[in-house]
Amino acid sequence: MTQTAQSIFIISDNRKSGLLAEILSGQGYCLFHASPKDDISTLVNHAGPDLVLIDIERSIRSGIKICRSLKREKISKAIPVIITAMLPDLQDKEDAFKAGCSDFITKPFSFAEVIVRIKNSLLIRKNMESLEQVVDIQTKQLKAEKERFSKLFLSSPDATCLIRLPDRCMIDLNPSFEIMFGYSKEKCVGRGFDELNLFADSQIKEVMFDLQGSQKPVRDFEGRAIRACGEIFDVSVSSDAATIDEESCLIAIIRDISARKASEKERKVLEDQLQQAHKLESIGTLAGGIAHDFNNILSVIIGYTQLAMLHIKNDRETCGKLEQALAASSRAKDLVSQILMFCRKETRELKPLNVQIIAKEVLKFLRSSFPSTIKIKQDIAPDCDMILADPTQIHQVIMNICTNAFHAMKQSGGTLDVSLKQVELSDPPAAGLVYLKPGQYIRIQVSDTGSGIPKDTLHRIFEPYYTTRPKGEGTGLGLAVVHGIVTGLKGGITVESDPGKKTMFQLFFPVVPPLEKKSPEEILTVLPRGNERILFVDDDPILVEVNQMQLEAFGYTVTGVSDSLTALEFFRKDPDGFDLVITDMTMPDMTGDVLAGKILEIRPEIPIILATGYSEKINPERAEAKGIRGYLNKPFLQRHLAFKIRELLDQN
Amino acid sequence: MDQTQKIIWTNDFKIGIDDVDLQHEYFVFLINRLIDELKISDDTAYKHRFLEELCLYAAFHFTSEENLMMKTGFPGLKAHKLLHRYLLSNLNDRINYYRLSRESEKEIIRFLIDWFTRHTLEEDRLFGQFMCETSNPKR
Repeated sequence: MTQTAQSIFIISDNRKSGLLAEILSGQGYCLFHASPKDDISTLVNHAGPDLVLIDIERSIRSGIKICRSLKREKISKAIPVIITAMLPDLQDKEDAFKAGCSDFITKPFSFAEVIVRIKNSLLIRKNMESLEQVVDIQTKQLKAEKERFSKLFLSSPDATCLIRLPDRCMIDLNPSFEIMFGYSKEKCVGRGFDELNLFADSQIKEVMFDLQGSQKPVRDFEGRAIRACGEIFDVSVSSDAATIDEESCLIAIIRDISARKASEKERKVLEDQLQQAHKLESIGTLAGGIAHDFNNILSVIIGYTQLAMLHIKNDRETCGKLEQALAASSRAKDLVSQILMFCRKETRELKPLNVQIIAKEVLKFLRSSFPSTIKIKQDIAPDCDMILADPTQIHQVIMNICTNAFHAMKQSGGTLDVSLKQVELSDPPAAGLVYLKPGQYIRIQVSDTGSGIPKDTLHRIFEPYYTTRPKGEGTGLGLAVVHGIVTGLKGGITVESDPGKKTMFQLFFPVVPPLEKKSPEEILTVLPRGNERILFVDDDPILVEVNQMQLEAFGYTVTGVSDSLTALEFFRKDPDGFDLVITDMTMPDMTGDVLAGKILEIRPEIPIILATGYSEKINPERAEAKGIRGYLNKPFLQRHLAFKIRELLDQN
Repeated sequence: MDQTQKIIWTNDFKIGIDDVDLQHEYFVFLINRLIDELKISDDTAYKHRFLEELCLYAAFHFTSEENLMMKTGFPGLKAHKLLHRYLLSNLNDRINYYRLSRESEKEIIRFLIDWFTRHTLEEDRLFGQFMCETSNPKR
């Protein structure tokens, strides 16, 4: 790298001292010359030399003056000035140095001495410059670094503070700290960390300050902290030791994880609920399957018992025993039907109804049967929308819950509080009601001041056969049935209990959407109609009559028969006299599927609708395999029938 | 003419101020010695140091003379001081030149003799006259 020659500006009135100049240029310096009479300031600023050498024989004072003026100007201020003089007074030397000259050379001098002194001044100047540059760069870097880190510190969402280790004095903290804990910086800085009661768990502090022991920084240690207002919240603490300003310090970073904890907790609750729901569902499936088999077995037992009783009519004693067996069987049947209700396997006709009327009825009944030690408070909103349900099921639900409440308060007495209200469920729904779509619901709230349900069994109360009552006092099916019914109606149920104080059940039933609230007449008018001829078969003459009237109202020509054999005769006589056959499944003499088979033998293309209750013998797939094109679950709604008829006839 | 001819001190050189005349006489003695030393010695270092001795004596003498002028309020002090500086600077340069072998011994001696005769006999005499006029009644 070629370095530019250093330049020296010589101010001299000595025309003969050309030798010094010659020697200096021989040293590789670039020289400028000026006389004291010139405009020194301008010339120096223009030349920008590395050094000014003043060699004025005529007057040492004028040399000092030039030096002073150069030092006053910003551009030339940093340029070193050397003054040479002969026979100077001590005062002259003093003044020269005061004026800012970096060296003063008294004559007589040797040239070599001058050169070395010039070299030294230049070296000092050069080192100063590079030092200034280095300092400048480092200052800038430091400033940038400081800015970067202070930005990190100031804008971090985590509460960050600096604690001096020997005395645990708070040195600094960021705005997030102030916000998170509610203490101002002024209040904290300078105070002992232990004076501020920041943590609810003393363990946090132990871990934080145990750095010397473990030699490892603390990462995400979780615990509870306390805000200035006393609120306790979850935090995750990280800390590390650092030496700052030669002091051993601790940097603590505290993160507020209360939101995360809350959502974790919520998720856990949801997961539990889902698991519970799955569990109940699988128990339901299992119980349902067993119940049906059991029902069949019971039918056999009841049937044969009755037959046996017919045979021994005169043996009153044996008859009496068989009657006991019969009574037990019928209790078993009731039980089965309850299980089926829980399993939602029993199809019931749902219709729009006012829950408040049923609730009032139940409460009226309870009032008369509860002992006076139990008070009943009721708050039932009169103008609620209707829900789609089976009135007997709703009756049973409210009854079951209230009976439970009664049992809880039987010993001690208390208050039964029943309220009914229409509420709006928001999205996402409240805890415990995960499956409910947002919208309008009727909420029945039943609370008692009884013994309560312990926390560890609370999640099991909806399981079938789970009971805490003594043997014989409860079936363990009550709440399972309630759960089955409520969820079957697309509703929800929650329970809260404070053992020893109170228990509260909340039932939610979706209100009927406005479209469904049309009057039956309106519904009839929009139902599909036709004028085809229909053969209707059911062993129940009343059902035949009702359906015949209904179908005729739709415009059809209906032949109603309450006996399957007769029906077959009718059809055989005039196979083309009918466009469609509707038959019940369960009939004496000939079941519906057999009748359908015989009709199809006569006219394979005729559409047949098979109506059936819950039956193991037939299902849609099996019916279809036999050529029966229509299948309806009993009890069916008229509109289902109307649509089904049109569906089949329009296929032809 | 022999350029290295010594100066022979006579009363004619006196300006009438005893202190100054004494120093002038010693300066002549030094110049004469220089002429001898330069001839006799071939020790360059010694020669340089002897020139230095002469230079320092000149500086001492100038300061002494200037102080006397200052004390007596000699009006030509400023001009005389300049002259002193010029002379001394010149001598200083010459010594440096000599050390670099760019000036001969003869040239230095000729400069010194010239300096002494002209400066002492012409410039200093003005001071002697001033002293004579002003201080005689006081003395």
